[in-house]
Amino acid sequence: MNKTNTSNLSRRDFLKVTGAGLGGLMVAASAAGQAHAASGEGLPLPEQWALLYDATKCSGCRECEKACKRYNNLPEEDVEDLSGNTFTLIKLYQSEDGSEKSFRKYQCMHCVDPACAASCPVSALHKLENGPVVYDSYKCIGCRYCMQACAFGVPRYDWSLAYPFIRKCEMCYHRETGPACAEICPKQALIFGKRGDLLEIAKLRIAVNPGKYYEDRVYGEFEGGGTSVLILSGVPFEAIGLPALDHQPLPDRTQWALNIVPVIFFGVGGVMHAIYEATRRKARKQAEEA
Amino acid sequence: MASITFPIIKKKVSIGAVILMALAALGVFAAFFRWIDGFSQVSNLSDSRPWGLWISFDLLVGVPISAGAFILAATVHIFHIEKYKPILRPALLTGFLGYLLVIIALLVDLGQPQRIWHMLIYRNLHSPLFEVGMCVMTYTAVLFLEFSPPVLEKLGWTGLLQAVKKISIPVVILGVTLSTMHQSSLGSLFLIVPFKMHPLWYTPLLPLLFLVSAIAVGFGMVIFECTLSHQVMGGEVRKDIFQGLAKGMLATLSVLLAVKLGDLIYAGELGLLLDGSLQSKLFILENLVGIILPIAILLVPKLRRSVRWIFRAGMLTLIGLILYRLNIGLVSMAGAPYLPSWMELSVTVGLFSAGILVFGLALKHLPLEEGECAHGD
Repeated sequence: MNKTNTSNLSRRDFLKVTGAGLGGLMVAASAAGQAHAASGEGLPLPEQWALLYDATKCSGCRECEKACKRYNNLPEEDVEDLSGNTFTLIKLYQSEDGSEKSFRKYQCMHCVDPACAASCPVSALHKLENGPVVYDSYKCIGCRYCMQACAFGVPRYDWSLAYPFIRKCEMCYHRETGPACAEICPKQALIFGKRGDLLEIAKLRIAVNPGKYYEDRVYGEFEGGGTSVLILSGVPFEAIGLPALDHQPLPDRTQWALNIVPVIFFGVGGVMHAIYEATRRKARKQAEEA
Repeated sequence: MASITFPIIKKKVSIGAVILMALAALGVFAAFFRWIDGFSQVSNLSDSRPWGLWISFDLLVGVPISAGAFILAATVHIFHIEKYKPILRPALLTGFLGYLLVIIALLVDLGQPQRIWHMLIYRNLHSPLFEVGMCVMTYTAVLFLEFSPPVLEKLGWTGLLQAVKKISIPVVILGVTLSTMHQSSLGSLFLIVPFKMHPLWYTPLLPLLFLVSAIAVGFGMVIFECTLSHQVMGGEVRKDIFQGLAKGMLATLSVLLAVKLGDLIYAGELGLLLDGSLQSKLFILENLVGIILPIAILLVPKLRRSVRWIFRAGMLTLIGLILYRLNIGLVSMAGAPYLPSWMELSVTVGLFSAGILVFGLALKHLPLEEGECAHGD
């Protein structure tokens, strides 16, 4: 014969203990609301810092790479991709028959709603009020979720170290005249300005040169919820390695699951409590009958 | 069983235990190498493969195979189904050990392991990983409380034992709630990569699939560890317990199959199954081995009554879950080709060996007698 449950917990004790847990969660939930409000603050989007890269104007001189290295104190290295010591890189794409050519500047796209910042569990990556997506190394735990989450493969790691940090372009946010790469560009292929102004310039170029630009549109106006690095290209965006994203910000796809967390917490907790009460009565009755 | 006598401690240790100890020692060596020397010297991780074996196996498999603890705790303490009481303690022990191993693996994988506590002060409530981290931390504490009674009994600390028993029900409920949250949130981790993940695996239902597959393998693991501890401790197998677990596993696997299939049909991705790519073959393998085969076995009434076949179905479910999580972590994601280095593998194998050793020690030395699967009253 089975004994009845060892626990002789009173209802009050139950509420006390569960209450402590719930209280903690509610603090968390209200903090979430504040955090969300905070991300809505900052400069209006058209006023934020941005870069416009026109691949048709780029001559591939790579002065931008050198300026970046100088300003960020990065060692020279011979790499084919962004790395822990290379925050920006010019690459040449060529179609198989050689008829189509284009350069492409790789760097952080400074998304309007960055996946890296949403995924970082310790808020080490975050978007500044004026646009740049920056990194606080002192918070970072090195989980590399940002590298996994970024659709552009931008965040990099110093794999040779035992305690590495994330490395990426921060749009020279502490530099008064804006990014060093844009300042040095001799062809005006890369220009720095307010996002609203740059979008206008890009659209003007499209209007003045019909048929010159791929699909007559600006990459980054809406992709993944918009980016602060806008790109014009004469060849298909996919050909120069820009992912085909839709217009939904990537963090939105996670947010719904996080929004139902309080529902799960209270729902599952409540249902479990109800089942506990119901089955305890039944178990007791059975024990008495036996 | 063959054994080796150690002259220093003058005790006989079985060959199996010696091998496990050697593997665990190798794992410790590899882990220290990573902490002292760096990632590239130890692992095959790279910028396009930031998550490798440690995340895909130690975390994505380690957490669900510890799910038996919350399932059984709920069954016994909340649903008051006393039949399963004898197997509750070993399940809680497996769960507790499982989460400890997950945390140790994370300390190896994290670039700044000394800052793991930063989650407490630099919270980001938009990050599913933050939720997973907080739940894993809290739930490990919950499991510690849930498993503490046999240890306290052994130590004879009756006062503390009474206190723990008094709060046991809210703790169990908290455990079930936290488990529901983080078992599903492990799937939410991948919601943010719709353009990097193969469409056969990417679905907005990932959190649900992760939760349901964790429950299924929770049953499978309990079946597995009951068989194991029965073989270590001897005694007769309680058939009704095994059959009950098998029923639970069958029901959960059926739900999992229905959701996965329905999702593929709804997304119009059934055609991808037959495109002959490596991904499609691995996807078919994962579902055939881990879902369809065990369902088929358990649907046959004769096999469903056999302890041996229930064990086999449980093992298939476990293998299927491992395939599913490795596919998610390593196969489905776009990136450079990756195979774990032998040092990465050593850490993973070493941690699991250590887990089995500690489980064996606890079986011998802790009063888990409530906990034997072997005997009835």
